[in-house]
Amino acid sequence: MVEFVLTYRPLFDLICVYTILAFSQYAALRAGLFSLATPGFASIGGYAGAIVLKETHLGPILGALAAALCGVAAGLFLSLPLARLRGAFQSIATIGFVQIMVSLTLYAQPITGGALGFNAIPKVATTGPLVLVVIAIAALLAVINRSGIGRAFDAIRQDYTVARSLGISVSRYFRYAFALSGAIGALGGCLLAYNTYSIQPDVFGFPMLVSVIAAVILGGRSMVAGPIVGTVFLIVLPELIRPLADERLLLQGLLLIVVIIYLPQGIVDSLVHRWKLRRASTVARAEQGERAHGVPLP
Amino acid sequence: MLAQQLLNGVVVGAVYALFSLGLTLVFGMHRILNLAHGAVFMWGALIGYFAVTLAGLPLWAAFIVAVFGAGLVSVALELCVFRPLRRHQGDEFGTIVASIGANLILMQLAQQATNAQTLRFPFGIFPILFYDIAGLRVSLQQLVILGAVAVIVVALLAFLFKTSLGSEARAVAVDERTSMLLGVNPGKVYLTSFLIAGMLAGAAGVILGVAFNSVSYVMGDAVMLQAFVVIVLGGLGSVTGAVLAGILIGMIQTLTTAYISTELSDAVVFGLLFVVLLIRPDGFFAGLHTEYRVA
Amino acid sequence: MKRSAILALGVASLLWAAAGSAGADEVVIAAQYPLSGPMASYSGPFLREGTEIAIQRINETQMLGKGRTLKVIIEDNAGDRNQAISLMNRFATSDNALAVLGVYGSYLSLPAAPVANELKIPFLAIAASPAIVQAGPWSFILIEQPNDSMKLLAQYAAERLHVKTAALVFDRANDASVRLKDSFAKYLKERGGSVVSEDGISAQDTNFAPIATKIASEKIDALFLESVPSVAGNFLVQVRQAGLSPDVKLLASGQVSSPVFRSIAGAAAEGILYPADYVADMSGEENKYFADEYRKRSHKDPDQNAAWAYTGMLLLAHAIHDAGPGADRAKVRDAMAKLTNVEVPLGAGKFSYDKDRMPNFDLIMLQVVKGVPQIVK
Repeated sequence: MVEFVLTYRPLFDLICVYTILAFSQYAALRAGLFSLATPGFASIGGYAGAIVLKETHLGPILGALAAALCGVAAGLFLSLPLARLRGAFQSIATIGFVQIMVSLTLYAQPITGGALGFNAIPKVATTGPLVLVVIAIAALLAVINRSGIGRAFDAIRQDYTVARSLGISVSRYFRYAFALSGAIGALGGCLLAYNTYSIQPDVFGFPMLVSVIAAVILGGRSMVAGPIVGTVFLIVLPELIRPLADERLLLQGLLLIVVIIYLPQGIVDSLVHRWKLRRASTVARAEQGERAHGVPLP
Repeated sequence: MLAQQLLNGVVVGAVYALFSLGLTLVFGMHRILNLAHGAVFMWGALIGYFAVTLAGLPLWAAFIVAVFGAGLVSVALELCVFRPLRRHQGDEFGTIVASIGANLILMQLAQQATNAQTLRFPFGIFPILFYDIAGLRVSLQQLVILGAVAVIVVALLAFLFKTSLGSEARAVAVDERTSMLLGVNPGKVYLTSFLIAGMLAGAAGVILGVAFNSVSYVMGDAVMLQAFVVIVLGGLGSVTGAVLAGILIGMIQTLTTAYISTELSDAVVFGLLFVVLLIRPDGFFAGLHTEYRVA
Repeated sequence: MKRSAILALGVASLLWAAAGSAGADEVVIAAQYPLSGPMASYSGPFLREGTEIAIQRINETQMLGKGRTLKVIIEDNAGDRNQAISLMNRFATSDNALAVLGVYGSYLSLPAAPVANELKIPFLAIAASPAIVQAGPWSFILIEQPNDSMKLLAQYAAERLHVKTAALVFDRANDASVRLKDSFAKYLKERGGSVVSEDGISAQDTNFAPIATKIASEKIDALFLESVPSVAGNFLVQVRQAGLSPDVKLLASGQVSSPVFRSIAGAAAEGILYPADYVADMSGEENKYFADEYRKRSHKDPDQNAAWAYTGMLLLAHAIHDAGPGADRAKVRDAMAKLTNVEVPLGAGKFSYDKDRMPNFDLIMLQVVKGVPQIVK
């Protein structure tokens, strides 16, 4: 039993960290923002958190907070040009941002350790705190979803022209979404650093971008459970089917294409949608049945 | 030395322009941001390499094979990825995600085909000759590259403005539904634009692969990033814009590397992207030569 | 339980214990190299071949001690740091290795060294960075310090070639490369030379035209090059194409001793000078055996990487022998630190660790003449 936990704990930790990163991506897509900047935010948060923890005496909690704040700043910085622009531009610019972060962290060797990485980071983010953070962020996102901001996000995601005609300032909400995505992404990166002993620039590159977007597309962009389901699926599947593990990237590529064409809402949202439809139709059928038998409608 | 570096910049910029043309055309005409374009470029280089080393073809023949090969890869993307997506009511975001997936698959296939090694064209595949033109040391290779790009761009413009297929393409770019009513078959136009984009990328791939002596499965990513800046700067859908912006970015990158540092050249080019997005997201050349804009 | 069942159980456990102890005379060393991935082309297969020949040598000469055989587990870390770390974990725990060789290069060895120290397993890194040794008492390095090789190169350049001005090109993402470059610059300046320019390139770069053009236009006596063999080769081709004067002397670090460099650079590499710890024609008993065996197996001359792997194995074997039969990892580690004058194919033929656990063996200068490396006096 102990062996089982010991063997699978690193996997579970990884799922937690990547769920947080997926939440960051989700926060952007939820609002109709085509940002793919999450790995860039994670890079900022990861290095900020690591530097605070190793170079100062402020401790991990303040380190994580500092990371999240840097993420907010980065998100707002990106929103300067991008909040007013169309989807394709946001994608281009945020992909570029991710690459630039990789280049900058490679270049800033004296601060980040460059290509050799930032090593020997104490493992302060163990499973317990990780799970707590995941739950906290999920709760936060669920609350936002139900609030006015969440409804505005929904409107913009469906159709931003209509949203604008309803008086919603699209660029203002994009800014919120960027800030939120930045904070969560940076926090995710920081926890990655606090859990895996060392980080290098290429950890926050294209493979992370693909994993994170695949998780959200697969799981669903609407409900909070989406990123969780997507991440679990993507990380657990190659472990269950060993040969797949080697072809991980190929699998993710194929998954992205198949899911976005045939199941664009993702697993969670499609299931919930279908369940709601079935409930609606059972109610309708029940009513029909009652009417046929002469039961008066309430 | 400055003039010499500018020459370097123009040559590499011309190739960036060639690559970006395909990307901007497909986006301008169909609103599809094909992030797998870099992989098409890379496969062009790879096909060219294999044509030379496995089939023993001379370089010019391998070039033609590669160009058409890359065109086919691009067409395959349209048929297997973008067309099904359109049929299932995919939106712009869907195409971006699907193209990321396609890029990944193409890259993984290339990684396996090359065993993750960087391949080099055989030594001396292109004759090493130099000329002294106006005090500059110009290599035959540089001249051929500039010549090839010029010929290709002219051919492209001729296609777009002088052939019926070209005008159909432009019609679809303006409004797909109306052109359908007028009897244009949009499906055919999609195939044509993807074929052309692929051919352009393939040509760029072989050229870069020979010029810098490396073909690897990651070579598409680096060029994609330059292309992003080029198409934004040049205006999405503009042929002239892509060419001019491509050359400009090539020069900026070269000068930054030569005078400041290699590390920062990427950052400078991207800083430029952000500035352009801030002040003129439509691109700088959008206003000029509007008749050359496809969309 | 029935009596026959107890008897069966007893016999089974005896057999099991016997089987378990059958491997008692077998010593397990683990090795991990980049056998796949971007580094593999110029390192992986050669490291493996060197290791295999070493196993043969060690078992034939009973180097570990009478009746003890060497078993080596060779695994692929694909040039990836995370895999390097997880393999280190596996070697120390489930594989029960007595020591670990390899990982290859500072980039991979640096993150692996703290893990080896944590798990308390002797680790001999085929790398040069002293930070590996500083990570703890359990991690060792094999490659001579850059200072010594660069001192030799700078001395030769200044005194024999009268080099006064040099342009330096190095791999900016690699700690060892930066150190080598700085070391060369220091020794050149000590002898009255000066550095005209320093340019950092990356192993992923392919377009060297801007830097090449810049260097070709500089007034320099020599060009110093330090990068992985494939990139160094490509760079040299491009700098020649940019019109580098044939009078400019080409100087490089030991990385260019790889045949991969020569095959990529072709004629552009003519005349390049570099310090090496190994070339196939070196004299010495150990090298004779090694080079002959290598040629028999692979029909080509061994390169520096193969020699390093071979030497690493030899060093571990000597340490295990010195530690005595039944030694545990701690004893092996202690024996490693005390190694003196071990016969190896590298350098001048004798390997020792000094009091700071830094490797010591003397180097030689080589020059590529008509495509073949020759020893220079």
